[in-house]
Amino acid sequence: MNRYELKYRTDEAKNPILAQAVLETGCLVNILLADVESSRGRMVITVIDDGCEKKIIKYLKDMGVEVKKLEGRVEKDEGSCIDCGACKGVCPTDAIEMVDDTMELDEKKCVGCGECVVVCPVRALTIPIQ
Amino acid sequence: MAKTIQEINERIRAGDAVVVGADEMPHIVAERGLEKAAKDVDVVTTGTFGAMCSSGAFLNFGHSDPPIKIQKCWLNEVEAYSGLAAVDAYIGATELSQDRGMEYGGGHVIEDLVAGKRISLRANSYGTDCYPANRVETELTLEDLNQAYLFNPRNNYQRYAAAANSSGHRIRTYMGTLLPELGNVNFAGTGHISPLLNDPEYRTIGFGTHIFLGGARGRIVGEGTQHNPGTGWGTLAVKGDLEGMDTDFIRGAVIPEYGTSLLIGIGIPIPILDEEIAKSTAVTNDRIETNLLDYGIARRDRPILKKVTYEQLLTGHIEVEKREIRTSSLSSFKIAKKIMKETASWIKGSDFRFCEDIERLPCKREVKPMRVSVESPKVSTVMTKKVHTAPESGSLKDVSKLMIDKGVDQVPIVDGEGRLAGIVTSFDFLKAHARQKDKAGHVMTRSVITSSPGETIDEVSRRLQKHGYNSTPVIDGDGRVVGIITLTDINRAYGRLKR
Repeated sequence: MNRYELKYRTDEAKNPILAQAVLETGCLVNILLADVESSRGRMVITVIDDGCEKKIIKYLKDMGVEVKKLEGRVEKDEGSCIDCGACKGVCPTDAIEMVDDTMELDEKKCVGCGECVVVCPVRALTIPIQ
Repeated sequence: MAKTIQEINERIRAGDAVVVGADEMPHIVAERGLEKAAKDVDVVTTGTFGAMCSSGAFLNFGHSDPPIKIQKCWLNEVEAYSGLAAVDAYIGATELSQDRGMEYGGGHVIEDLVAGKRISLRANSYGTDCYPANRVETELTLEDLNQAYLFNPRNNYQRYAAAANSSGHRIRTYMGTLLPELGNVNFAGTGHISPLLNDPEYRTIGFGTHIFLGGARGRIVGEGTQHNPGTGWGTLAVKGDLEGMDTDFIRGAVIPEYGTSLLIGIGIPIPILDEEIAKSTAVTNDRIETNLLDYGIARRDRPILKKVTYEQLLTGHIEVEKREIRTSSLSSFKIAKKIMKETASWIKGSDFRFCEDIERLPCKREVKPMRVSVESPKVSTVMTKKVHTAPESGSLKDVSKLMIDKGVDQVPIVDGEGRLAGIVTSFDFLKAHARQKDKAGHVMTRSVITSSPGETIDEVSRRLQKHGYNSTPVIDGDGRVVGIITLTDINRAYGRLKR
């Protein structure tokens, strides 16, 4: 299932952009991450029905939403990771846990949003482009 | 029954010393009792591994020919302080590189030196009769330097406050990324295995104490800056040769949107002289308290959200304001425990000796805030008090007339009570045109960055910079618009300060 990152301005509070897109296209989505601030928003979604994926993506783009297809999951450089927990704190899907003082990444839960990549103090995390 | 340092050293020499980790000591005391534990155990080892920003290294490059009296120098494009003699420099952990910004800094230069990598040196000077060279450019490794030693003014905090963020925005701090509305809690320090918590009276940890520092032997060279042992916030100044250090225990760090730092491993062995020391090394996480501070308030004295113990922090979540909030450590317990074991194996290796005559560190010290003679002006003294507002029900035509007549580029929109409801800028007129709306309330931007009259202009300046705005309405405690503050107001106020 493809994952898409959506970026948009939230000044237009009266427009529930995603809800409108779902209604208009009849295409169901799952919201994996929603980070909405006062002036801008960022979401990561997957489209449940592959058949209408193109339709809803086009609709969102027409609405002025910046759409980016996310590739890959987070990968850890074992030799570099120091097993602190900086990444765990910002993971929106609880894909990172500390087990016996060791950072463990659940690839099934990871949505590849990249939040952890930014906060890693030793740059041990990457999202390889496939 | 008390032991002396000489007796413990003798047992180490003979290979008979009983050395345990600080995490084992609570169990030993619980099982055998304090008296027997103090008799049986000779040394307890501790460990910590985390970002310690007040760190750096003194380097001596040797003299070039013709010689240079270095005035300014850069190591891998990171500036090192060279206002000492001719070829000495101090590279600080938080200095940022000129080419890679926050992705590479002084901490990384130190890591690269320890790793044996080649470092570029670029230096310039005004030239003197005795040091004629104006510039030098070369590549150096640790081996090429005469001296290279860490000299860290403040390391190894006894404990550290945990951090959360009550504001509506994600913030990036030296305590890591803090999600809005208390979205997460970050904490630092290694709790009951942390060195200073195991000897809080500084009976055995003092000036001259041998320590594990970044993988090599180092020494404590005094109290750390901001040392405040009376309230449980002691710090250490430490020194150690980069030669022999290991990048498993000393690493450059990036703290996003804050800067660079140095991750350092420190282990301190504590000789068990008597029951009192045995008792302090048996400390457990449920008895180590710290404050959870609100970093959403960017002032020196941040509000305390609650008191928490390391035991609670280590469960992975704590309750704050009736909500479960996840906690994460910024220190590595895995590496800290490795340091604790490594320090124990040094001592068992028998060439280690405790220093018999350490100088005690002060147990009482006051930390003073900075005395600032020129205070940052408050918003209320700088803002424009005459604000042109418009009602929500007002027509956009009136708003546009107001903007043109008064020469303003935005108009705060207020409700019937005079409270801020939104703001209309020229961009909102485009929205109005596209959607064929004619009331201010229909197109105004509802989420507005605001300021309050009692804040300093520094706080507002940072907020405007962060969100990319030129001005914010100033609202009182009831949400009423009492003024507007613009970048021009702020710059003018700073200008007055300079004069």
